[in-house]
Amino acid sequence: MKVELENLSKRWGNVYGARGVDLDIKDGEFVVFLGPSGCGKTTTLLMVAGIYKPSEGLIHFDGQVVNTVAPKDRNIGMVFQSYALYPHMDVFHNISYPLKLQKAPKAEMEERTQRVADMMGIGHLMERKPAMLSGGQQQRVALGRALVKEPGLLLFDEPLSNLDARLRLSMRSEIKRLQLELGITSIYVTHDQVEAMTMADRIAVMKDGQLQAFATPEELYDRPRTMFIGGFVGNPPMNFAEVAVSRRNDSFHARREGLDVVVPSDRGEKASASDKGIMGIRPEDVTIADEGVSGEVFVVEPLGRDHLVTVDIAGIYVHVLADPALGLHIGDKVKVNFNTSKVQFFNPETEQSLLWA
Amino acid sequence: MSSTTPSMTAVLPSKKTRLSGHILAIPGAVVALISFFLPWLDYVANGTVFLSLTGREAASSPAITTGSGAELFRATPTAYLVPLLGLVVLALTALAFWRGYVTEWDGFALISLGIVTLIFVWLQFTNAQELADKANTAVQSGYGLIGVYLALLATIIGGSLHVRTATERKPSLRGLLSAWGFMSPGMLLILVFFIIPVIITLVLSLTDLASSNFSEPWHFVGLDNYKRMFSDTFFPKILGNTFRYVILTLGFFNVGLALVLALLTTHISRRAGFIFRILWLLPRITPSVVYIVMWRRFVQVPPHGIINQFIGWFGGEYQPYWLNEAPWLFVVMVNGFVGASFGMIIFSSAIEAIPKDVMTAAKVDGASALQIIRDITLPLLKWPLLFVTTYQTLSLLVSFEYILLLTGGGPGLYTTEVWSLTAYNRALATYFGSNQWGYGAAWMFVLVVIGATLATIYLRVFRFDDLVAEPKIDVL
Amino acid sequence: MTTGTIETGRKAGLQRFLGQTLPYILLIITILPIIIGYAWILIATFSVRTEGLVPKDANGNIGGFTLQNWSFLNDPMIWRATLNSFTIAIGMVIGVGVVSTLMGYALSRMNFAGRKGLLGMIIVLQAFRAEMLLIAIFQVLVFIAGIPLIGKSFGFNTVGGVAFVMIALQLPLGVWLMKGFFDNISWDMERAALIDGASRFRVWWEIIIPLIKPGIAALAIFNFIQGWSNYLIAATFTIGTKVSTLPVFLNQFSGDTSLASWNSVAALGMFQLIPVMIFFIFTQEALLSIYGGGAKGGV
Repeated sequence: MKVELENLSKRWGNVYGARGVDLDIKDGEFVVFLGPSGCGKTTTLLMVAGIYKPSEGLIHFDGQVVNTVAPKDRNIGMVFQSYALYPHMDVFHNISYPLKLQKAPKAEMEERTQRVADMMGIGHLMERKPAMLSGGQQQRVALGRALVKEPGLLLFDEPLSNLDARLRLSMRSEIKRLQLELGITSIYVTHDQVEAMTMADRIAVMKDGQLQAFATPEELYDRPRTMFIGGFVGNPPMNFAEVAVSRRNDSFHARREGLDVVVPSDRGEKASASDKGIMGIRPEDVTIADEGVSGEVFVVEPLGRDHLVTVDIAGIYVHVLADPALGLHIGDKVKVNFNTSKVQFFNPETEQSLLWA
Repeated sequence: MSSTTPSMTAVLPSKKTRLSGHILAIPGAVVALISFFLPWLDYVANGTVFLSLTGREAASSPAITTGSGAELFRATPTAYLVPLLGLVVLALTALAFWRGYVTEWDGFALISLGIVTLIFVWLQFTNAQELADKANTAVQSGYGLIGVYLALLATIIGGSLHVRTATERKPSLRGLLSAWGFMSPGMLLILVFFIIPVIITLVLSLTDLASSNFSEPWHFVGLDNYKRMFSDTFFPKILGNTFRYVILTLGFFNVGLALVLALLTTHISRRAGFIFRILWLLPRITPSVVYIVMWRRFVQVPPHGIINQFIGWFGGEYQPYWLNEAPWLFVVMVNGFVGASFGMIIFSSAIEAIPKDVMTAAKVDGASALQIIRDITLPLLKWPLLFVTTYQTLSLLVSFEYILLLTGGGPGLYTTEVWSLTAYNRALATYFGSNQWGYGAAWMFVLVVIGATLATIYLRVFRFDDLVAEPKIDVL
Repeated sequence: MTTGTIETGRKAGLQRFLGQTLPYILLIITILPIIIGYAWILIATFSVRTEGLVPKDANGNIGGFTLQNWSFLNDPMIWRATLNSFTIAIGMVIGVGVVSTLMGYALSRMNFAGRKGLLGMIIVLQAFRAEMLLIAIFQVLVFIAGIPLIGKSFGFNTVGGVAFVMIALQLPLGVWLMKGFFDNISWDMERAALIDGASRFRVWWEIIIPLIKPGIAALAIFNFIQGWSNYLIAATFTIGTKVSTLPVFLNQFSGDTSLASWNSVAALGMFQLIPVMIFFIFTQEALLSIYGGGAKGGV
């Protein structure tokens, strides 16, 4: 199913939950709404589901406006963070409830319910009540219930947030595999950017009710259009520092007190159009080296495979991913090297990218 | 999306079409006004105004000049005009609705008008004569009240003209039926037993309706009942009684004892506190008649009275009939023992909600139990105290069941008669010889006004708007 | 922390008395009249006469156990009144239960025009006690009595009429309580059911109602007691023994009986207390929360 959101807004009094959201979701696509809590991603999702009525704007499913269509007639399935299973019904009745409401024949209902349950690996738990299931099993039941009526659109509202870290990882890949197999258009809401990056075909980044960007994970990561996206996508987050970019001889320099780095000319040229800019660079693009900008180690946080080292460079703190073998300690004097081919520049006032306008 | 309904439209109705939907509802207002005024005008103007509306023919009919309001109504073409108009309204509103022009309120009006129309039609074609004979006053009030109801609806429709922004809520028939389907049984009961009675009370208080003239038409007497009420010889006494009853019961029991009980039961062990609180529920759930039987047994003369038996055991000589000896003591106690539990429950749950850390900190700082109560508990109980006081003031003001059963307002003349009991006795107690509904209603309506005023203030004070969260599902 | 470092044994004893024993003494003294009242009913029910709290036999000696007071059970009138009371109580349970679960649901969970105003009205009506409107309700019932068919079962001087008045007057509290129960149900669950294809009515019936069964049960018990015990409404809107309820009957009976033989009044009172006491003993916690629950959330 194709989904199109046109200037979609939700307003309570003068408070906007979502404001002017425009999106175009292709058939079979897996789209993730990403943003911090309270950014309007769940509000938008609930408008797509038909639970909230949009204050303005239109929702199209396959080219038809569905604003006034009831949730039950939208042919959608939804999975919630709290699972939202019916506690007084057993697994079988939970999963088969949508079919019961469709008045499906009994034999067909049992057959389809069993098939979906087997697919979710909970076929043997049919007589259990939700209270007797683990979190992971409950979420599988919820997923089964959403899938059993073979919806044209699947909606996920932070479905993995209540699970522990390991289970989250395995459920994540399972959902992704299932979606690819069934080819159902899906919208997935999360505040976890790792989930977004790993699962999405395209990510819609939201902030304060507004859509910041709608792009593939690679594009968001490599070419962030705003400082917010640069800072929100990627972990550990991007380093920012205010610099002035100017041309000297044949190369472009980004400079501030204690810092002077040469940046590639294509990026430097665009950045130098503005007198001041905010330079952004990801921790993995900064290395501890023999040559480079001098600084002092401020904090060392072991992450396991890497150490996240915060280096104080003339009053600004720069996060660096460093090899634990270096054995750095607080107070060590170090030199850092910037992989400037990945450097980003933003306008300090508008926070828009100077590179990817 | 094969299941998508074909009637769904992307384009919301324009202002013009929406307006036309409202205009279609205007006949409803007209019906309301006509049906409201017709039966009443008969009495107010003794038929003349009525005649100018319905023509000469009707004037020559003897039923017009001598009959009751209901007969008069039936004898004119208007009787058939009203249901006809109702049906037209029904059809027009239904049409507007079908095309999706109207809002929920209009739709509510549609359903209500349909119901009212059916009642009208039914009344015309059943044997309404018998009905009129049985209770002609009631029938008259009935017609008028249906009119009032319609007028209210018309006001609501008018109100909806400028409140709605159509883009936010485009109503669907299903959605409308859903919400009002859930609401309608309750709304019907509230309408019949709350809203209409309030209006009846007002109207009655302006009439001379009483059992002594039950068979004759009653008359509007303006404010005569109120004048009579304020000039009643016993008015100052009854007013004083009311104040005494409310203030004493509230002060000593419903708030005072309730607070003491809450402090005591939260001070002792949890289990014991719970048991005492449960015991205090006993007076409240004991059937009022049984409860009063107990109290009457307390106050009897020897050898039956329990109080006097105790006095005897302690060697007391003076053993009177206590209800005559100290009627107010017992009126206050009988009500207070019932009333204390409400405040007790509210206060003790408020006290239990006070964070333990605060208490511990105070104890560490060396505060004594009384200091803790004065400096910590009572300030935190400010809102519950205000709530219980206002709420119970209102309850006490209108309650009289226990007084009625215990003393009936006696002993002697009006010794313990409070305002609400006076209203009840005038209107409904048979032993006063005459049921003066009009006069009693005047007494009662004063209480209705006080109650409505207090309740409104009270909603403001307790910031009702903040307490009512929006539902998190829009779809109906 | 300057005080209390050195305490005499006497002072500590006094403090323990003030802190531990005194509250119990105060609580027992204040509850005493209620306990005595119940004790009298219990004693009087099974004795020939009582003087104060002391049971006496016909000769004035202590004792005199008898079941004679229960002879009223042979009177068909009492069974008529019991049936009427029971009908009203059950009518209350069903009527208030159904109507207030419907209305409470809509007010708690549906976003319709006028919702806020109606909620405010429900609260105001809770403060408008039944007593205030009796005169007007009398007129309404007389009017209903004049309507063919309906009037015979729900008009003035009918059990149905009394039941309807009581249902209506109990509604504001019932609706408010049920709204409180509905408020605590997860929104996601209801959303899930709507997306699964249920109408609001089916969500209400199949998903929400099963989850608030305890609340409905508590309300049912409360309403049963109210309907069973109410005197004023039944006494005001009925005339004659055919439609009188137990409380009305008892009030009549106690007025007609001489003081010396009030033991049979006590027995009749006891008879009336039995169902109330059964509920009281088994559902204390629910009752406590209901009686304080009209004020849930500070309103």
